[in-house]
Amino acid sequence: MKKVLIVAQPEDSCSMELLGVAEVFQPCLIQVAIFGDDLKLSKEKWTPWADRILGFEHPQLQWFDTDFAARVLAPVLLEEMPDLILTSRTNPGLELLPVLSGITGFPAFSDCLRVRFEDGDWIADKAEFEGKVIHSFRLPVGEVPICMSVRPGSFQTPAAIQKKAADYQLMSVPDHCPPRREFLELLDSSAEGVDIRKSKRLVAVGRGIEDQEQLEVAESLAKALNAELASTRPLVDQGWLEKSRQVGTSGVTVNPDLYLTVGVSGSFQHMGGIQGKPFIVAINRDPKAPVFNYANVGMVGDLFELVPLLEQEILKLGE
Amino acid sequence: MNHSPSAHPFLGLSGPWLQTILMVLAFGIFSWTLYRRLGLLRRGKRAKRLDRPLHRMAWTWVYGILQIRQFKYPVAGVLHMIIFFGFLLLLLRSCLLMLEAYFGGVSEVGAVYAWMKDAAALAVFLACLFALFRRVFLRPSRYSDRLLPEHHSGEALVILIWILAILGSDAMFEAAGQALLPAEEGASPVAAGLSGYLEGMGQATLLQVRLSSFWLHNVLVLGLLCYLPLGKHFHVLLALPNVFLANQEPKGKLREAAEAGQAFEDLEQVGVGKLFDLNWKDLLDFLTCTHCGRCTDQCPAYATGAPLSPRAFTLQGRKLAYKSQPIWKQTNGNPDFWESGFSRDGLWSCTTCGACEEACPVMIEYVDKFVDMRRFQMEIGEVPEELQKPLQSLERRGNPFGKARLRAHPFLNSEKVPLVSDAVAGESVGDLYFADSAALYEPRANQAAVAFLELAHLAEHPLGSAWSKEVDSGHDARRFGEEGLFQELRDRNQSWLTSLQPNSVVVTDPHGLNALKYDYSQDLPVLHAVELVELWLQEGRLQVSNHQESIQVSFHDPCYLGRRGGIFEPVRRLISSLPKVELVEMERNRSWSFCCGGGSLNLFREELGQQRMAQYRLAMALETGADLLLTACPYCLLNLEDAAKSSNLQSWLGVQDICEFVLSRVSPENTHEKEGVKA
Amino acid sequence: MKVMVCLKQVPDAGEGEAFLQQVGEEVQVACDDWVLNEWDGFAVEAAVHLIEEHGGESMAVSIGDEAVEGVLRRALAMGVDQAWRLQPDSNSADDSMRLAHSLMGAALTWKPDLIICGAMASDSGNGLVPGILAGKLQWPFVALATGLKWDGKSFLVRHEIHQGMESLEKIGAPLVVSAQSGLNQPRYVSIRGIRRVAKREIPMKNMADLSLSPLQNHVELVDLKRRFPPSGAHAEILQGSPQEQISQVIQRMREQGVFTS
Repeated sequence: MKKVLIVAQPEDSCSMELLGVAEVFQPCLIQVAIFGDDLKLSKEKWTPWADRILGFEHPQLQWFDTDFAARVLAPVLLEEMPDLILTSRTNPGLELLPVLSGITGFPAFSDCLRVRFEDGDWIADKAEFEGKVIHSFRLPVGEVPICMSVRPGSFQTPAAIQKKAADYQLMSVPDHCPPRREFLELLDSSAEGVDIRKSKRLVAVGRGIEDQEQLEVAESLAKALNAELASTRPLVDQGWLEKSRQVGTSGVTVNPDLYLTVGVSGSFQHMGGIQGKPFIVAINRDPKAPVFNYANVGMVGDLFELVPLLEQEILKLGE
Repeated sequence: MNHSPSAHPFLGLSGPWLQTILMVLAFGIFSWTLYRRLGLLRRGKRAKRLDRPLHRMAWTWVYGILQIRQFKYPVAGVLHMIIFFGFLLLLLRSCLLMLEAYFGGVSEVGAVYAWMKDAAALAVFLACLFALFRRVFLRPSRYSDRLLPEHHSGEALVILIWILAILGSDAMFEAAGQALLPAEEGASPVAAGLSGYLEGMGQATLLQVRLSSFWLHNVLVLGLLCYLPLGKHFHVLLALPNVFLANQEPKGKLREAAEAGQAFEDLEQVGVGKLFDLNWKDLLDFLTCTHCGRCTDQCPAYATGAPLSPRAFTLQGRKLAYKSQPIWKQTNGNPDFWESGFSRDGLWSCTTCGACEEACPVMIEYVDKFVDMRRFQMEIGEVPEELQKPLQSLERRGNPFGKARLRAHPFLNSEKVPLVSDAVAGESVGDLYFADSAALYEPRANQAAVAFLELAHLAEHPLGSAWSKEVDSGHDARRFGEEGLFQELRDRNQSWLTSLQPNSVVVTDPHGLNALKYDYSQDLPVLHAVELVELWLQEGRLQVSNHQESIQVSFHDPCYLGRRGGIFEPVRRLISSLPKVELVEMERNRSWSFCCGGGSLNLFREELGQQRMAQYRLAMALETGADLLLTACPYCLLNLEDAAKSSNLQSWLGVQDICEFVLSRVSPENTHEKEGVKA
Repeated sequence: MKVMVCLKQVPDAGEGEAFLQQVGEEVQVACDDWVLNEWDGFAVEAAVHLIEEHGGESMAVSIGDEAVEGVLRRALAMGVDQAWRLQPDSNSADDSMRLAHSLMGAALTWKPDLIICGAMASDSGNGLVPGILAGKLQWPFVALATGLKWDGKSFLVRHEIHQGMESLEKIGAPLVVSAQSGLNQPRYVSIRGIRRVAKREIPMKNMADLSLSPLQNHVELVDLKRRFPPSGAHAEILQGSPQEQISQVIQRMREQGVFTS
């Protein structure tokens, strides 16, 4: 039977999705490594889902020191030799996974989007060139343990996995492993004004919005979509929106998945601030607006009619 | 003789002695200060400014003596002319009064001169009084500068009062003379008039008044001489030399980064980082500045609130120069230019529009200095963040927009314009259309270019295009100081230009016009689209419809078409030849045009003023009441149209390229006819 | 202080992705325009800045044939003191483990106090090499640095942890750091600057020069084909009543996975 070891990061809300990867390898033995200075809650969380839980409890793990975690986990991996070692490709995952690979010498696969079993081979997909292409790799499952990070949101937590309550094993943290990273301070960088660059969904407003009150239409659409509001220059110039929301050659450059424009004409100065290959939906009164040259889907019409309708439909979806 | 100071001792010294002491003292101080001040020039780099001496003399006559630039500002201009010419006459008088201390009576040279001198003195006197009144009460905004902490009007006031005192003391000297010995003919009318008030004084008192007025006059004149090199009135001495030595290259031509015979790549140092990296003429500019503020008054960056004032730059430069070579102390080193207080933001705010240079009455140069300073900044990698991306795009892709190299014909998006073929080396290409980046890669500019090509098609003027080989002209890369990048782009364009050998090159982008004319080295006639369209209309190759609505249009002169390219009138002739079209000029037209914010790389730069230049310009166009604002540059079109959109003014004032406008007025028969021929 | 920066050249992916070409069933990367990986630019700037501030020496390394000299020269033009080109592993040029192995050889030979890499490469998007390198060297590793200082004894690293949060940590040398975009603004390199380093000798180091033995028993992932993700590449104007248009756009967004991510 295949052995899958899930490295559950403490702050990772998507770690349960890793079970979706494990599901592809069913039937398999699922081990979960958990970290922290108090493991009670995560132990409870994982017990119904795993065969075995490896608990690493140590004051240094109060905040997730990936260097420390990798050094205590790696010897266990070398002993257990699981077929697959999974973790989410969060920011700490970007530290943890390759370091595990480097210490153990197991090959690593980064940012997995999909895994399938095809003609006797395990095939994994990842995105390259900022999502412009999908690249497939054959995983040498069975030959060597593989360290794999998984893009959050790519897999779904399975409805149920037939598992008895997991064995819990508290792992000893060796003494010869002094922490090497001293945590000084936690900083909230988003406090320095919105950073729309981090948002994967953006609703961009342009001059089709004629006064400040009309902004509300777009704002509530953004809310429904769980998106941030982006803007073209004129609205920022008018002082209706913060400068940090201005996309374009003289504003910020964004790289979202969805870019929904409302009353944006699509000048080069604005569109030049969009990187990658987002799905662009454009709403504009003018069928000749250049924004339609960039958009994937366009709607020609009155934004005050279309936008509230769209918002309603999206809210319905959420229900 | 009439109680000449030569014959009467004063303060216990005889006239000749006293005069000699004063003169030795004054000329001693004056020559030392002058030596120290002009010694600064020796610390600057080399520059050749003595070529074509005859041309320079004529130039000096027009701009230095006749001062035709003064009249753009009529009040100040007339005042200056009166004081200038009056002073020339009074200078003779002052010399005579110096001699009077040695040779009694030498200053009395006859009635004609006396009248002239009095008229001049009176005129200067009144002009100075009015100037004082203007400085103190009217306070034209031009004299204050938000980028200069100190106000320079104080010095102007002192000098005005000084001049008044010279005139007054001379008048008193003569009046007292008249009172002592009411004279014969040849007496000064002013003196005669004034002497009436002195009647009743004793002879001894009158003599003392006469003598003290005389010596006061001579001390004031010699004192003024000593003062000149210390303040803004240095221009009295330097204005004419500075005008004579002014840059005589065409206006759009930049100073080369490397001297002739030197390779740019091999230079030890590039551009200007420290004060004495400037050349001697640049330093002379600093010394000559009169603080008049015409440059800053015309500067679009200053007007919109950006941290740039050409005058402040010059005065800060001067202050730094004086600090590094004080008159009475040891010479200091070569300071970093930023120590002057001039800011990086100021440096990058210049659009190189050239309005400041056009306004300066003493021909101070700015753009060359700024570009040289930018070259240095480029070299050390201190480049505004937002410029890095377009510069890299120019390097990698040959256009600032970051677009991939063209694979499809860029002018086929209008089906009516199939004429432009890809020019092939070896074949005769005739006239060649050089599109430059905007027309190739920016959709709105491309529309305007297509309109021009359509006109060419209607006028049956074949044009070739080498769009697949073209890269950006590099015009603005060069003006932003990236000389290496410019040279690379230029070399790439020149290699195909040389192999194609067109008869002439036609451009729609004035920056391309300027680059091909002055930045490139091949010798080809270069025409701007408006020149051809005007010709086609004149020759009747384009038929304009009479059945159109009447319309009022205004025209925005692009900086590199007008001020730099000298193309003003063809546009006016073109517009006036269109029926039912009335041209209403903005107050700032032709060489006084106001920059739209600049082309190419300027599009990417964040303007630092409260308002964008294009919005400012648009407000000027609105004032004319015109229905449509025309221009003839893709970047002016983009900037102005964007401003109209931003301010929701599109319904009030449309913005169009002039070719688009002409195309919209072309009669349908013309179009029809041509298509008939084709079919 | 000695700082080593690791560089990768990547295809110039601006507008118009001409370098990705559909050939039969797969997409091939056919690129003539190689540039320095964007994140590596931050790494070079950080290295040059640290040395300017504290003294010492910086070195840029890259793995590959002569073509990678382009990015090494850019680093030299930015102010890095020297550059090494490492000979790629003959087995596979693009395997993270093998790349890290070569870099480890360079690190053990040159003995830097700090290694800075870009957070990831814009082509593969992996972000594996810096961490594997740290693991192999047994050095601490901090990813996604947005701040990097030397206080005389240790490095102060500010880096991104989860959404919007950053932590500030103190870590002693030697250390591997990966640079995130907020770390600095790389200085501009003028064409003249690049031309002036055009003739600088860039030594090539092979396995023997770095006292490296080949990587043993390494199993690689097998590279299969690339393909374009399914997407609506052309602008499509929706027709019908507003309500119909909205249903269609919701459908399109759903197909794009907008609501699932």
